Amino acid sequence: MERVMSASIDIDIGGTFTDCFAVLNGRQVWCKTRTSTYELSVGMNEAIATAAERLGVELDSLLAQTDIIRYSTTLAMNSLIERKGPRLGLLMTDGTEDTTLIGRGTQWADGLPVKYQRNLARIDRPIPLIPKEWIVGIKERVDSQGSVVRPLDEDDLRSKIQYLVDEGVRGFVVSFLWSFLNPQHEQRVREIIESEYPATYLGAMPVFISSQIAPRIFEYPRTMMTVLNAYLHQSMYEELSGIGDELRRRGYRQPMMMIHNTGGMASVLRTSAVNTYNGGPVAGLMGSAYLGAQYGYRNVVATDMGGTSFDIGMVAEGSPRFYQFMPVIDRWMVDATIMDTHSIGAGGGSIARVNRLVANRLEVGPESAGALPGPAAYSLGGTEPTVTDADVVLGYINPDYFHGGAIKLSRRRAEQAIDRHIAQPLSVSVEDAALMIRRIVDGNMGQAIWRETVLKGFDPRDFIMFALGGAGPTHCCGYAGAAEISRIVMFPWSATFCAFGSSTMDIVHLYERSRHIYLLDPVTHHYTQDFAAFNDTVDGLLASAQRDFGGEGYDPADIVFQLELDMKFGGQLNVKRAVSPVMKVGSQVDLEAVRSAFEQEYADAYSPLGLNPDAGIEIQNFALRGTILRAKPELSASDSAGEDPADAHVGERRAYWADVGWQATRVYKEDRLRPGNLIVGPAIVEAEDTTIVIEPGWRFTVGLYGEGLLERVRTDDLPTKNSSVRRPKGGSQ
Amino acid sequence: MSVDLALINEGIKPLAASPEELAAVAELSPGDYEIYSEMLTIIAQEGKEIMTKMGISAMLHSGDSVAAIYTVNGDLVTAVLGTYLHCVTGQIPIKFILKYWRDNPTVGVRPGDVFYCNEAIYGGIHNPDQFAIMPVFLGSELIAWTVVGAHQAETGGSEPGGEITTARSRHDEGMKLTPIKIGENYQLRDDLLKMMENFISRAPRMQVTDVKARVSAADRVRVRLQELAAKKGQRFLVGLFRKMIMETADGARARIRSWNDGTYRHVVFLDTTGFDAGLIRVPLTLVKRDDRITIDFTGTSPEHEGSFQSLAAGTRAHCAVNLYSFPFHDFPISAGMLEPIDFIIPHGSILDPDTEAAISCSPLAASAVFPLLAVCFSKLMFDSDQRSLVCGFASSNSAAPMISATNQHGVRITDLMGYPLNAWGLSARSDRDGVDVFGFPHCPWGKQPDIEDVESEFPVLHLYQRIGKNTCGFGKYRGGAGAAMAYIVHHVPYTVWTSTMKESKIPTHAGLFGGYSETVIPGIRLMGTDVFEALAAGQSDIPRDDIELLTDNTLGGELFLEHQTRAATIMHRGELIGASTQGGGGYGDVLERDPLAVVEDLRRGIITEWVAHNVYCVEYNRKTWAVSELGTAALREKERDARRSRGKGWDAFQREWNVLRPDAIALQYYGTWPDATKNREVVRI
Repeated sequence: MERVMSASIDIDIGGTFTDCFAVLNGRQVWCKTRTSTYELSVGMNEAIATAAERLGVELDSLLAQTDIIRYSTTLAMNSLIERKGPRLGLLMTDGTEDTTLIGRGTQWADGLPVKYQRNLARIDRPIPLIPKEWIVGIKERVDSQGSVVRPLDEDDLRSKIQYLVDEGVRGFVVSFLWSFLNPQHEQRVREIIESEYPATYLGAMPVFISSQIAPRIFEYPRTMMTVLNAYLHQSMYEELSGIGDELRRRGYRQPMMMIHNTGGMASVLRTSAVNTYNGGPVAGLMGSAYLGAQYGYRNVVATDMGGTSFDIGMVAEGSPRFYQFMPVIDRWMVDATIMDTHSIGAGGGSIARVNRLVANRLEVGPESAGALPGPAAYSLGGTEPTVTDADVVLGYINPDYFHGGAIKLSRRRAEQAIDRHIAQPLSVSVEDAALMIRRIVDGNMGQAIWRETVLKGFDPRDFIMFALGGAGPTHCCGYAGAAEISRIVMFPWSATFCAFGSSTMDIVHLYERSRHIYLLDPVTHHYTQDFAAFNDTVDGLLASAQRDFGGEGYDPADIVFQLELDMKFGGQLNVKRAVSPVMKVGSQVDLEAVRSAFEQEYADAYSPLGLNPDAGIEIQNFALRGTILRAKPELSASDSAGEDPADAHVGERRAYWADVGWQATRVYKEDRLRPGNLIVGPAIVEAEDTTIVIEPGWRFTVGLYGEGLLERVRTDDLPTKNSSVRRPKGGSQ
Repeated sequence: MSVDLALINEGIKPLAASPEELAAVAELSPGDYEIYSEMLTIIAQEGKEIMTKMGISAMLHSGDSVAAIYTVNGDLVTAVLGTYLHCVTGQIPIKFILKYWRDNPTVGVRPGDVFYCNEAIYGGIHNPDQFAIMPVFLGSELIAWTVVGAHQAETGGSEPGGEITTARSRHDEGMKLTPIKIGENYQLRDDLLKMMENFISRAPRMQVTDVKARVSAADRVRVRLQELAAKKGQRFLVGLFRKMIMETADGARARIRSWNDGTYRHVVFLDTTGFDAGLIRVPLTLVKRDDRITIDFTGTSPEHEGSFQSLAAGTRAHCAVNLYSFPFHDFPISAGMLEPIDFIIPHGSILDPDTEAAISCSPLAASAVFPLLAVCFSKLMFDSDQRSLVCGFASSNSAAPMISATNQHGVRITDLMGYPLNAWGLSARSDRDGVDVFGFPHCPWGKQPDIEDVESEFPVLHLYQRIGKNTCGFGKYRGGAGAAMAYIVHHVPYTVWTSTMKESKIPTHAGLFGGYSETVIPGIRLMGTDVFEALAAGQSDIPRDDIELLTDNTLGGELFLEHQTRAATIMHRGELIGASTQGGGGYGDVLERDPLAVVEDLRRGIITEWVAHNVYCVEYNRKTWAVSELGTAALREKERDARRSRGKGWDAFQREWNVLRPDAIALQYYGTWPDATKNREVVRI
């Protein structure tokens, strides 16, 4: 059930910019302000004030009419990298105290690119969040069936807690083996700490127990999930609890909602720190899913090319249904269900180098010149050639209109850098060297898309691409070609797309629990008759969801539930998540339906050759997704102004194209283009926050909703499908 | 048995480029090589991920696996792998198929064929390594090959686990398939799957599941290569493949040329044949001249009746692990890297025994080359631009206890315990310590399973699993520590265990430039007790690591200390078996280690007080951990004086040293003393 609202405000607080997307009575505006790292609310309030100005209303008035403010932030990640967390003690089952220090052995590789992983002589473990001296083993043990085989030794426990307090820890993490099956020891530890060290004693010392934070099998990621939440808890609440104070003072009456990487959102009080990691890109993915649905594109690859990284998200068959299992946050593997987005080191700042050791192989990235010194063309001290330098040399980026003219670029420095470091070693012209840089970085990005698509069992040729980020439109023809994708869409709010994305999100709570059930017995090959094991687990999750949603004031009748199951064939380590066709089971027909859903998902992802029910079929985890649907921004259309883009044509400049060479190339201003305008490449469209490069063999059409559609018109080596411009379902004219 | 030794010995080198291939290389456009070489790697990666996600074996997740692409002639183009061993292993089966089956009308090579093999004579390491092989056609023309393989811890041998400690000949080692066709027209043959299931009746589920995983993955790689060929043309692939091989070879030669010419030597010793203890010598003479390197194992002990020996292909493959992990870690993974490397592996030695020999424990024996090459290359690279790559690597044993049982779910299982397999210490580097419990040196990126993963599938309970105290080699920079761990049999009345280790008495690994070797670990068993009774009773002094267990056994029963190479042993519920691993070697003089780092090691449980005081000669306050600089300086000066007093002139040293000789019982498999030449016949039945 969708609720009517008058205004909504969505914010994405990035490391450099704070983006805002606001809607008031159907009118949409977007803007960017600088992030105020010292106090996030300053930049956030400034962004909202700018949005109010663009809407032509007073800030107080806008806030009074606002039904919801949603925001995503990289704050949690920053605190982690900067090691700003508190001093914590970690209590583990006796004999397993080194679990987080060993980290499945290859913890040293987690979060590192392959080239660094291969250099064994230089590997090192990350500095632990909780060092060895603050980790203690507690005498207790539960086994794999949840039975206590060693009772908790409370005397030993008390002495070790005292030791940690004497060491000066300010909070406790408790993670015992098999606690998700039997949490009684962890709960008892919490009781004892809270009774022995009440807040009145040394101040509040929070206790985080793994059976509550992440009640799922596998102790290393479960423990790290608990450690990260504890480590980031304090700084997150200190820095975010006051973020809405000024807005409330100015008239906002609703809770501040934080974007979750699970694809939904919740109030700060119901948000754990790990939920906020990568919230921005996930919001972008959800926005892509929404727009894909509006336009009728069931398969979308959302791409975001910025200065240092290239992010990819996939919407397949209408759903952003992919999760990262055991994702790595910074250098730490955690047990969190996070919507899957993938990032590689490729962007405008990616550095090009000639590897003289391997046949003068030209390599681009993953190292980046960053914002400082930046590309050589920035004239800020950078001397190594970058992708942006190549774009300048080739004539694609206007040196006088980069970021709307805010940054003046030096074409001469770009040429010098490419000449010295690339063209001379390879004995090619500067422009050919620039073209090679571009071809290789586009190839890297295209292959990353190809890889992400095929590894999920899909064909990239069945996808349409969304080109987002400042550099996305500049390179999308290249990387789409490398990924064998022939249609690309970009939007006027592409540069603030994550904020737009959050405006499309629902309130979602995800509840998960490990419960092992043999759906199909490996020995007898009979279906389980223990329906209660399945149904009781679901009931437990449902009860938690209804309690939480009810506590937030939502009508339980409005909750939409979806049950997802992590399943595998007998003995496998890796699980495959499938949406359960039933919420409860009561017959073999229900079980067969569950099995069928799993086998279909498995066969699609891997191969029907691999179906192996003779080995038994196991359910490992239950995940219940509860959703309260929110109203979404509506798209509004304009009438077609015809194909002729003459009003936007501002001149010509020389640009260098593959197989063509230097050619006088038409240049257009993006803000003067009108729906229906058609531009055939080669051509360049300049916008304040990006440059759209229309390569030869492509054509660009402005849609009735302001979107741009790039289509490949050369059909000699790529199949194209359904090349007509589409109209969003929910749009209005 | 007739074996094509020429094919086996020469098959790892790439064929010389043909004029057609060179012409195709010249036709590549700028950027083609960079972009499409990466594309091929992604294709292989897709194959490997599919196999890993579909499979069961612990080794799939520990990384002993490969998905690779080969030229039409069977030369490796690129691979995505958990172990560099398999850079080498896929080529020879393909070349065998081409030579013997392609034109054989009873076999042939056609689109949709699936070949399979696990016979190490055809280029593999040992028969637990099983490979699916598929030809790739464009229309009717053969254009490439793909191989997907992984270790599987059961072969139907005379003992469970695939690595048969007591094997006396190949006939004790179970299923050994020469390259055979198990599928046609993209369909697997059920009769042959059933045959394999019959061979592997200790773990039939694992066999069938993992065959399907390998074949599904190989087929995906096949599909992707066909798509690429259809888009870019067969000639494009020919040029791309050849360029990838050429560029790696050229780069390797250039790096070798930059190093100092010279001869570099090292020697290590094993202390078991598998079925019996005994001293075995493995020396290396590494000669570097211009842009070539010769790796010469002349002087290796003669072959014996046991399974701790490796065919030459396996020995070369183990060298590839070193070469790709350290001196050439930044090179593309293709056959070209081995082009400037020559091998001398004496036939009839434990590094290349007769083909009738038992070799199922070949990774144990052949991994003796890890410290050998690590030390020689460290000496070679110390005075070069690659000094940062100096590292003693590790004394990998590819070893772990293997369990066979009917598990708590009623399923017959046989598998390696993945955690100890992946829990070795990495040796110290030229400027820093090694890495504690860094992984599995054969397959450095494999992951250990969690305790909860193991306990959910296997009938065991972990008593402890932690960093092992005093397991590292000491030095100015210390080696990474190994792990201390012990299992108790749980849920079922009994289980069967074996385990393999090439050293449990004499360390195979030596430290670098004065650093100590790692510490060897004994096999530990505790029989005739029920540890669960002690746990349930709330006994407070349950051991927390090997040292506590061995110093003061509070669990009752009879404690056995033995070699970690153990034949099949029945363990009952409540009994304990140890599975601890070694650390890595140290670097430089222990007296040069920063005393603060010594105290830090002490606080973190890496070393004991005894080591801090007696090895590192560090004086500190036991309450505050403060280092006494004066006390430490005095202790260290005293130790230096003691060293000087023990010093001898070269001639005096030689006079004393050369008359030393191990006990005859230790030399029964060694060969002649001291040169290790053949001195007896090995009879295999």
